[in-house]
Amino acid sequence: MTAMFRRNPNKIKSGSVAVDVLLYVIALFICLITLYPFYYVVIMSVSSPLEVAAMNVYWFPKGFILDSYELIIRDSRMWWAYSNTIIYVAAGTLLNCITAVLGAYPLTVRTLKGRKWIIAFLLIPMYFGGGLIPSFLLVNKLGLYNTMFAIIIPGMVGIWNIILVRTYFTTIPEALKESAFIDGASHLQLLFKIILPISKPIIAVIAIYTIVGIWNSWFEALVYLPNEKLHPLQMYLYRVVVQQTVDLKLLSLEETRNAVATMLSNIQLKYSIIVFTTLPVIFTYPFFQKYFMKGALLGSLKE
Amino acid sequence: MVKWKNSITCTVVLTLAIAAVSGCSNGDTPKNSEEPTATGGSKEGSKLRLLGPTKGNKIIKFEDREQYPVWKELDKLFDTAGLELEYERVPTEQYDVVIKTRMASGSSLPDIVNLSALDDTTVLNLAKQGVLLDLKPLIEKYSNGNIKKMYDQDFPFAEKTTTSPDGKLYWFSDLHKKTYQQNKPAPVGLTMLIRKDWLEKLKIPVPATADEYRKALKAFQDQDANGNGQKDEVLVYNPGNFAGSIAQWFGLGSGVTAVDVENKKVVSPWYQDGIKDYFRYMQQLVKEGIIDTSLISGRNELVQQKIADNKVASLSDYNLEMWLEPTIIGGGEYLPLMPLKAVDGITPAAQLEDPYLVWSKYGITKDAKDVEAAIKFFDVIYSEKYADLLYWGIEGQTYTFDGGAKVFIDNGTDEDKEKSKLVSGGAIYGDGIFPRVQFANLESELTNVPKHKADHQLAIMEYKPYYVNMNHKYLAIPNDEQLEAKTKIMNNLSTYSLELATKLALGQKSLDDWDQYIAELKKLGLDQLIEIEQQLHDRYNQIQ
Repeated sequence: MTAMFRRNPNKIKSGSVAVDVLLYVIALFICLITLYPFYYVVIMSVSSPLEVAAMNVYWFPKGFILDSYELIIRDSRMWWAYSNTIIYVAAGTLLNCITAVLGAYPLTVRTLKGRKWIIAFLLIPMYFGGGLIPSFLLVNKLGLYNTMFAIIIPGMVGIWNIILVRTYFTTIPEALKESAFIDGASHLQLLFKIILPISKPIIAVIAIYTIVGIWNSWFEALVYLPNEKLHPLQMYLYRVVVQQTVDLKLLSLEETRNAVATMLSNIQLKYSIIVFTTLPVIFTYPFFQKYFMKGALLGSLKE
Repeated sequence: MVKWKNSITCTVVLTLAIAAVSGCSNGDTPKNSEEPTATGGSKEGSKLRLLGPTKGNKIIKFEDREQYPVWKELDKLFDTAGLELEYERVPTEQYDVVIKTRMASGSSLPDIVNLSALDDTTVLNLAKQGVLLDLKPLIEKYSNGNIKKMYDQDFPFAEKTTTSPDGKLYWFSDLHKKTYQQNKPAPVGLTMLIRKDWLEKLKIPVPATADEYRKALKAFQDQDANGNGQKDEVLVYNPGNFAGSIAQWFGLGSGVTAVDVENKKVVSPWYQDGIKDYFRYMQQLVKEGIIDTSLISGRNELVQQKIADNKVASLSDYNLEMWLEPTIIGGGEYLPLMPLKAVDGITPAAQLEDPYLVWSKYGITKDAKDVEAAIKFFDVIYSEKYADLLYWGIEGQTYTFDGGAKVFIDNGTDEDKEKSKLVSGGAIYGDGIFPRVQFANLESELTNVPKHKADHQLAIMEYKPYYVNMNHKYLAIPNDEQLEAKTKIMNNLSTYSLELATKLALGQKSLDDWDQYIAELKKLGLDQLIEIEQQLHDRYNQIQ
């Protein structure tokens, strides 16, 4: 019996310095491998173009040249794309928040008939998509093809967001709702005057998910927006990267001449554009941070 | 609470405002500026909608076309034919995806579409689904004879490579012909280039044999031709795919399989006499540190960088290239070499690019309402006047005659041309929506290159034997069965061949086990591939 309670001599004490050091080293290592790609892109974007083309830059910038940034800033297409992205993000985020709240609230009302069926039904499109061509046909027949709405409307309802918001709403004490009803509040008043003001963390979470998602998306634009003037920023980046990866060996003498010139000018540009397009969304995080920790855990429990 | 409410209200108002603006703008922008824009004016004619990528020049823009005299001439051609054209232009980088989804969905198709982003098989499948029209009966019925004349007389090989196995024609092509002294075909050479200035600096004679070539490259390193104190003057060469000109010195075909055009035979370097000597030669180049092995199958940018750094002694490229020299920091010059003798009893071959090029695809879709107008459009395209405007432009403005041959007038850089508006049509509307049809001549090309390159070109175009750089252009389109067998074989065979050849060249595999390698190649279907391609080449030769 006593043997069972005897202390294991090899056991590391909690609060041991060895563990702390080990954990710090692991954390630091993970930190480094996460941050290095960002750092790499930044130093590539400011190094001398010749060194960049030779892929000689690894730890520190070689040379300090901001020409590629100058090129981007002067490019009107980039600013056009920037403003488009802001429109897509603003409209998309707002619509996502509205649809999430309006979609989630009824699903928390206990008196709603067939509530469980609706929730089950909502889960289906989370796992099964229509595929590219059916989606394309849908967008096309709705008359959205080659308009900004092709990006905004298909992405305005997020089932995952609805589930997140619903889970949060169910954590609000039923007594609060009942007392509001007793005081004569309608469902709309309850939602907008009572529930929404105390649901800021979850709104912040879905807002940032949506902002990041839309900011980084380019595929929809690739498929639905043949008009260059409607392209978002990431599509602009995509085009620069694709332009650069031309295989000269597949071209004839006539075509090679033009391709060589374009290819060289784009090597470094790629890195500068990545920096330019990523920074704004990185800066968004601190503003949402206080809500983020609390809200991000919400999806972990589903009732 | 109040603060939170205010901020929400502000955001809502702002976003709605932006969305409203964007809503308006997306109603206008694509429809009015990028989507269908008429050729201009209020002309009455048969309307045609054309879809294609926005290729072309970044300074001389398609959007400004109305300001250019050459466009006005072109406009007259379409006017006379009674055609009113509308364009839908999609950025080149995006075109691939856009055309695939639109063709696959079969909806909102234009009348005439550029299908170059799709391979032959995909296009033939679309044709089977009825998305594309068979052009032959339409040409018979509606054409004024221009298309037939161009395809039968000037470019008979065009039909050979674009006729489907069931004898139908689903797409028109870009056509290019380069001649010398009026009608002599003028192929350009792909050859080894060597630093001319280094040969002169070190007083080394121009190599006349493969052995002298190797010694010259060694001497560049030993005597520090670029003067940076390091033995870093290298040969950039990929020994694995046989497509880099040195392989042809040993009489080898220019791919895993290659077409011997003169003898109408499909061959494989693996079965040719010079193959072992080729690998021995490569091993020697590797052993002496002449080939930069880090650049084998390296990215183009890395090679470009080496060239710029004044470190590339020799590489394989077009004999008439003029784009490498300006990038060398400190200057330099490349000299194209004639095929060098490597082995006794084997005549070294040249590698040539055919003077007749057929590429790109332009089809008429099922949604075309006025098929007659679509054929009329191609009648204009395949007229001599159109070809002249596209490649040469306007006489006295962009080209002139010198000794009976057309030569370009030097109108300066693209920026200068944009100001003076003196350009040929190709710069404004070539590729993309409008097919390229061009009758180039060598005379004009030779005025832009130094004498040593011109001399090389005149010699190489007469040279025999030769292999071609684009073997597939000499094969007819395979039927389903042939295609399936070919794809299956190529998947493994090309990888194995490339790896084997690279390892043999690097000395990582021994030539002693030769029979074993050949047995493996046979097992992977090399013989069967040669047989299929021979059938395709025979059919190519039979199509009239």
